[in-house]
Amino acid sequence: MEPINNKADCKEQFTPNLATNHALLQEVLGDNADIIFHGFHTGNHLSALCVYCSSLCDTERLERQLLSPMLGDDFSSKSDADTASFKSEGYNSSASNTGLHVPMSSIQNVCTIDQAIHAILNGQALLLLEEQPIGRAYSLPKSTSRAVEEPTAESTVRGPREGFTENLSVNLSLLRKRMKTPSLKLISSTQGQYTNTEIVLAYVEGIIDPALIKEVQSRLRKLKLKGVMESYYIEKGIADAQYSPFPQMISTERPDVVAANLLEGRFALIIDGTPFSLVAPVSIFSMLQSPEDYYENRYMSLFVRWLRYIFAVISVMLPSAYVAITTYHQEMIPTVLLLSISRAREEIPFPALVEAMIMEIAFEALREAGVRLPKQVGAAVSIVGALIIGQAATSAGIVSAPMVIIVALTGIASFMIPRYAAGIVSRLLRFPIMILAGTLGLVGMMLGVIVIVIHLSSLRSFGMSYLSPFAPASAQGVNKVQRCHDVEEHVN
Amino acid sequence: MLTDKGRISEVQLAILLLPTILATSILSAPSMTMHYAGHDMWLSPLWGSTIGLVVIGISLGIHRLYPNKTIIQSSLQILGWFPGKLFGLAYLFYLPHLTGLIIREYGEFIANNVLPRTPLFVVMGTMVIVCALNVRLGIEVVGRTSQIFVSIIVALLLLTFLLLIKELKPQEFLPLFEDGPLPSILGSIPPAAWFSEYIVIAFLLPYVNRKRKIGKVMIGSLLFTTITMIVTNLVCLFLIGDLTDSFAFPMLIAARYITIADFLQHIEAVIVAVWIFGIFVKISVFLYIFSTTTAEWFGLNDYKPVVAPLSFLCLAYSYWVVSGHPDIAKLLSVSGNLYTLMFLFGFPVLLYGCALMRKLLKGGGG
Repeated sequence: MEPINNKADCKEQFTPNLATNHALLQEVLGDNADIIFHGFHTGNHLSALCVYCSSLCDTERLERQLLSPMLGDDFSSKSDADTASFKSEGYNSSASNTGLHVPMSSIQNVCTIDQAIHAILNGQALLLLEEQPIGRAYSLPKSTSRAVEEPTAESTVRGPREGFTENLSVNLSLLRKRMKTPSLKLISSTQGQYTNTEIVLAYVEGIIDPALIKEVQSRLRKLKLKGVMESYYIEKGIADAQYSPFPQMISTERPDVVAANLLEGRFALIIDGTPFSLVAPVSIFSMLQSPEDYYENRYMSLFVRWLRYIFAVISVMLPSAYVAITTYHQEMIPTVLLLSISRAREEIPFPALVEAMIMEIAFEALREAGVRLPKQVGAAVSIVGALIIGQAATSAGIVSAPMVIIVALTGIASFMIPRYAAGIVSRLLRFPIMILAGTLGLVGMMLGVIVIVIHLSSLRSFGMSYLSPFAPASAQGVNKVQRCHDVEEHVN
Repeated sequence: MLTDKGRISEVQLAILLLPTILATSILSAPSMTMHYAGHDMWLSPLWGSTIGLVVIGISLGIHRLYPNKTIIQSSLQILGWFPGKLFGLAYLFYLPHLTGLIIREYGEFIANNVLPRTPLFVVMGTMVIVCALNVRLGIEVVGRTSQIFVSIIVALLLLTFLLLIKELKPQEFLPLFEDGPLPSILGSIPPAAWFSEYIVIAFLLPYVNRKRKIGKVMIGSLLFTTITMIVTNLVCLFLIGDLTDSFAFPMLIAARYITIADFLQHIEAVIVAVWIFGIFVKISVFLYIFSTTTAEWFGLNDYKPVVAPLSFLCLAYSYWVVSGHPDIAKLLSVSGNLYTLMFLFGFPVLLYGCALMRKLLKGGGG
């Protein structure tokens, strides 16, 4: 656990003196408006102190389930014997004894200031009694998460409609509901010096390679972050090649995707505060995989998957191929097509490369504007974009109609990549290849492809080659990637 | 002690060897073979492949006697320290020569066919940079990139041959053995020079992690390259006939015959573009061997620091080896081929002979 604050010695144990304990906690937590120190006397006249965070605790439940039983007369009459017994037996058995009278399931013993602060800031209510060097943390979480909704970034026609939310326990329940087995392990840790964000490492024992789990845990342990706002903070920190544009982990909002990947021997990191969980190790083929590939007829899935491969290549290469061919290799274009292209390009003042750059940058700008604007205004952007860029620029003779078609096709192709993070890569790589194609023609384009392949060959995702199972080749692996139904067969 | 920690599988090595042999041989071997063998040119690669078989045998033999050592390292033990170092030095001088020549071939090929007005330096320089990147990342990456590209190249080759079938005139096949078998044997010298490049096995064997089936896999690789060369020669013969030897790159002329549905034509630019992949693998392999050999010869622990300067040296060599296209033709002719054969076939044979002698003497003495 990270040290929370250096003001007090956090490893310090509680003392039997309630006032001292109060002072110790006050020193660390004192200046916070939402931390409540509530001192009272129980029904049998013991002094007690309840410390909780009013913004995280369900105060109504706190009053009903914790405070009123303790203040009430029946608490004193019932617990006289118990109080006596825990005074004599010491604090080892005390929690269970007192706990009997508080109708709550989740109770934790807390011995140090450090643990106490952690418990309070996680939304637990801490109860300290006089003459006891031990506190009890009652879990009374206030439910502030949104409802489970359909995932917006990964929609499918057929398949479960549930998506992860920002609440970790909701997410874990979604996962556990899908995998009712003791082999599913959920290992919790915290990350972030100031945020103390809970991260749950999920894997299926018996399927996953144990060395992989050790590797992940050691990388997580080495990671020192100030805070974790989104899963990418973690992804960035534990990825193999941190300067690669290619995502080395899948981020997904879908519990069914996480469950399916766990069954294939991958691990998942579910992070509190974000609906996006991370899955690794992955290859480039996982980036071109949609959950629906597993939910539809296998021939259809295979067809759609190959369509996606082709369009992934198109999304990176098409504008540069157009630039290269129209600039350097006109002889490749059939005569009729060449005539129509040259007629369209006759009035254009720019060389093909400049034209392509203008259009691609305009397209990227439109897309970015459409994403950031409120939904109601987003439609306006597309109208303006279609009218100004598509219609007016063509008729004004600034860009040619074939170029507009190329850019539109490229745009559609990049929308076909199911993982958003992988789609970004194709948008980024398009530009350098376009410049290479404009300077060296098809040769330049091929050099660009070679550099990308070199990079992909050297890339690893948690020890797994990014191009596997094609390089290094394994016939079994290729079969598995292309079959689309390995999960069900794995279970068999 | 090896200068690279990466390991490849035996299949990866076999795949790596395909473009190493074929990338340039498919382009220029047919016309050179035609020059000597005439109509029997299709037979020459078969004779030439015996050299390949011998070279593979030598590489595996040396490796069996001195396991997990490259040919440069084992030469120190076979010949003794000083002669061994001399042997390595010979390769240190020869390898940049060969690599420079391959780079120059690539440059001329591109300049002749697709980028006539681009300075040769830009064409070759960009390629060398890309290859140096590949080599720096180690044998594993070289192996993987070759796997990806070989699948593309093989698909392209098959497609080219298939689309050319309707243009072929098998009657060019005759007359058979017009002047007896001698021309075809003489014509096997150029393919033999390419087959002798199988000696790269001797440099790369220590990086192979599973060696149980290595012999079989290497023979498979040799079969593949031999058949491809025979088919290439046959296609050139059936398509262009006696004119084959008047073109520098007859396969490219052949590609001009391809039309798909009267719509796609003149796709030779695509073929050139894909062929770049093959030449990329070939230059990478030789650059890798040159870098590791240099590092081993100087006793370095890591070959990576020498990659960049050596690639630059190879680029400079690509200008020094020849001054123009006629010179290339000369270097690639019989005398040039004999020069190649001496280093890639003659020296290793001598080395293996010494190793066997040493073993015999040792066996007799002990």
